[in-house]
Amino acid sequence: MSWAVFRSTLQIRRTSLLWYSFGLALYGWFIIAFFPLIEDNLQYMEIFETVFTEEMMAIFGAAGLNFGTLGGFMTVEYLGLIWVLIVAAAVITFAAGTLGGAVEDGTMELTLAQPVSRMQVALMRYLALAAYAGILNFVTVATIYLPGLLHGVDVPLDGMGLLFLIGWVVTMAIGGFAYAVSAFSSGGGRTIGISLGVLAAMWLADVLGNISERFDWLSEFTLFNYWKPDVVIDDLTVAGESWAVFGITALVTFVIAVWAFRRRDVV
Amino acid sequence: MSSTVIRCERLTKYYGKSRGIEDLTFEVRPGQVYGFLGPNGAGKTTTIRCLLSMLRSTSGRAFLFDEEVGVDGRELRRRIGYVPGDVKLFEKQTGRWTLDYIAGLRGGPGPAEAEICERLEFDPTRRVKELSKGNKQKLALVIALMHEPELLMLDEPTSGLDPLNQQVVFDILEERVAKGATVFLSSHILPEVERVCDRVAVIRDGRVVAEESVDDLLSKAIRTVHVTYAEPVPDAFVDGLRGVTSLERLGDTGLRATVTEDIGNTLLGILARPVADITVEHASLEEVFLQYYGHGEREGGAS
Repeated sequence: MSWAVFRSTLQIRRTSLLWYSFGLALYGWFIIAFFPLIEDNLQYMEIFETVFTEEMMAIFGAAGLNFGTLGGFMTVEYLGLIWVLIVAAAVITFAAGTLGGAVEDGTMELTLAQPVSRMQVALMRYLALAAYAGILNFVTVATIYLPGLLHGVDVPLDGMGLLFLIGWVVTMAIGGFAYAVSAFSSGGGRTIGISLGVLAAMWLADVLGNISERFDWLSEFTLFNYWKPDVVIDDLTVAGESWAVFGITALVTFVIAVWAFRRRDVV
Repeated sequence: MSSTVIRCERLTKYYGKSRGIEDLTFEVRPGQVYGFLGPNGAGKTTTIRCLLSMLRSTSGRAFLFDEEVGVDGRELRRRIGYVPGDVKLFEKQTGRWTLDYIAGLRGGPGPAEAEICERLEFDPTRRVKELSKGNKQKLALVIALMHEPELLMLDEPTSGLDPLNQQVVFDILEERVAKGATVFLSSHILPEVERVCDRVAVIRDGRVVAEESVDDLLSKAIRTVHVTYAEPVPDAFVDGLRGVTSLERLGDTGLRATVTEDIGNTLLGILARPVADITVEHASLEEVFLQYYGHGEREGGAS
């Protein structure tokens, strides 16, 4: 184990971690502070929901969701799409810089000239990614729960615990995919482009699957289909297939990343 | 103790279809200062990167301390200090952070860190992005030298340094060699190689074209003979001289000749007439190098 690799990987990204955390905290607080207002005016929200077509609701990730529940409201306004975009940007950028980006900027050569194996580097940087994702998810739930107390919203603590766990696995699935792409590439830009492209394609496929019965099957192949924070917060459950899809993705992409990184030229 | 510190057996690396190195075979013995000569693109850096497991060779084998270099090579690298040809560092971090990072990877601080910093007059408190090229080179040297490794692999180690610091680097290398270290020095600065190396390999188009001691290489190489005769010599005498590569008349009595082989017999011919003065100059390594390369064949290929 080389904890120097783990420590340094996080140290280098402490400023970006701070900014992403700040963004999540601000957004989370802003949305939860709004919830009492929505809760007290549900009759208007029902009118609001009827104004939008089903397709429009699907585009905003609100198809079939109830604005009146905390889970439904948080999913539509924050966790369903905006949160995914913020944490995806954070972990994709992180993953892009740790392997391919480090090869591109030459720091991988500096690291691998020392007595440390590629396996150790790949493992420690993945663990650093996991810690980074963990901090972002902790900030996410903490800045929903604590401001919730402040604004009189009954936020379930066990729901937040569950949200933290599944959110962390989701983040690792996205980050793991970017990490695997990064292991093959010799630059950070390509990793970011491919990963965000795949994420955007999944979002489009999910929208298409939700608005058209013909393309219903497309939803099966998207991350968004298995990410249901409304169910986590309102029903305190996570479907087994969600754990499986995100968990296996996080694990398999890590194995692919190590396999590729051990075999490639690193300059 | 290892019988060889570095050994390459028909080591070959292709980048797709373009050649990096081909059938490279040489060995470096313990305590040697081994010069690896070649112009940009000859394959010097590729060789070092294959030895450090950063590049996977296409074919052939490489050994460090008699152990075959694999994809890992972690324990082998513990015994190596490396200065890359193009120094790349963590730009936003300080020199101190970088040295601590390397110390963390090597399991502890380098015992010689403070001494090397002092001798090179390097201030580790500044951010890397604020450092000049010379100071970045100093940091790379501190990283390579601070753990007192058995083998130093140096790719253009004095690049960007002023003459005073170059001198300091050579002094340190001489001290390390005196303590038993081996130095593998890749360079195209030939006076530098001539000064510190005791054996050299000349690499051209990815292949080793000459490999011998610096003394032997120089002794086989061009000599320039300047002769001043006691009296004018006829053209027929000069034209009849054998073994000379080129001849230049300097007035009626002067002559400058370059000789590449059989210097004894050539001198006998030159001395057949009364001589007022004669000097024989050995070629510099640079001239020897140009013998192998000719002119205008200095670029292209891998680095």
